[in-house]
Amino acid sequence: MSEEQHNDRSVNAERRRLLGGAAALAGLAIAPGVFLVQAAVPTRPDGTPATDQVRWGMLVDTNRCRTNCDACVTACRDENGWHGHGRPETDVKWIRKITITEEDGRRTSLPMMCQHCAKPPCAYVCPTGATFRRDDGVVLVDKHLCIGCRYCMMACPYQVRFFVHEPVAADSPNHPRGKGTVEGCNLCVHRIDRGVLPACVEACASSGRGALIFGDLNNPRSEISRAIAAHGAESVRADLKLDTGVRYQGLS
Amino acid sequence: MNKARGWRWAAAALAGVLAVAVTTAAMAWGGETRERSGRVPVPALPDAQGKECIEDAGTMRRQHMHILDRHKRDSVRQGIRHPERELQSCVDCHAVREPVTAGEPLTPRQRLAFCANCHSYAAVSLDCFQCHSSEVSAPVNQGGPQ
Ligand code: SF4
Ligand code: SF4
Repeated sequence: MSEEQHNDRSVNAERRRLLGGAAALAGLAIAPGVFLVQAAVPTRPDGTPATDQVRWGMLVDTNRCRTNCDACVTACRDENGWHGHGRPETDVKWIRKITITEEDGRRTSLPMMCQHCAKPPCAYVCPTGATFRRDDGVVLVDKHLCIGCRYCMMACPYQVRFFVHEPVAADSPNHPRGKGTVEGCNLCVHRIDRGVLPACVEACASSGRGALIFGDLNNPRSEISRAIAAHGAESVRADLKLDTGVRYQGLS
Repeated sequence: MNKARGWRWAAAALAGVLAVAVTTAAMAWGGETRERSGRVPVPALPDAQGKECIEDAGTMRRQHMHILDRHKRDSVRQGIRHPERELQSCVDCHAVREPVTAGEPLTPRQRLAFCANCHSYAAVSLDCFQCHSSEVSAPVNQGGPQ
């Protein structure tokens, strides 16, 4: 595709319309509310920057999520190559399962990862500009700039950033990893930029319990926006008002 | 007398011009001649998988670091993807596949002999692969990773 076509918004819009149609076909309902295939991610043509017309988000339905399931964690580890050394204190964990016990004894199991805050404390404190929020809402570490000071880890209220203390066994072509830098969930930018769902969402749908929905929070017609409109959703520690991109259902 | 001296100057000037022309031509062919002579060591560059690079060899030899640097900033900070300019695409095309010692897995340096041989010849340290993978990506990921 030529450079002019890349920059032509009408072509882009046309592509989105066609892709939207294809996604609707792919997501054939087998019963009301039960989808065979999740709608694909709308793609952005190569050569164009991420824009704030899109805000990527994820919705976790904790009513479906189970304590004994960690399909999302395994898939993320394989995709992004953060295999640990069996040292929980220092191992990198982009996503982990936690269980919340309410005062009445009710237990809720949910995955916890970077919440992709719209007002990210991690980015505010980063002295080098390594941590930044991309225009489409994904919070990333530019490891070319990170000096490993770990301020971001202290600023993040969710404990979802990790310092790479030691080399990992095998390096991952999907995710360059520098010893001495900080990393965390990047919503699988390498996948969503080419229109593929994040690895955890794909795994949860195929071998988990279909508790994760990924999509564009800015588009009222996206699956995630419709699910939030229908059943509501909230942030963990909503009192901090960080406007998170990852939202949960069934917390309270 | 003056006329004779003038001719001598002209002849000297012509010889000079000829010498420059011959040297330039020799330099133009130099690469090949040096390789053929076998007296000057030149970096051995393993063959690539693809037929064509994104730019001609001369441009790539001089500019690849700037192309990669620009792409690094654009893709990480703004999400501007150009699959053919990604470092991983360089690896997928240039990495050595066949084991150097039978039965032994390739070391990263052996796999990326294309980069490493030239960098050590030019005495320029090669830091990309302290973090980036030297592994060939799975076909499903080709043209995709960060
Ligand atoms: S969850 Fe933590 S690491 Fe992620 S954007 Fe918010 S403050 Fe930053
Ligand atoms: S560890 Fe890296 S990303 Fe985190 S605050 Fe320091 S420089 Fe920024």
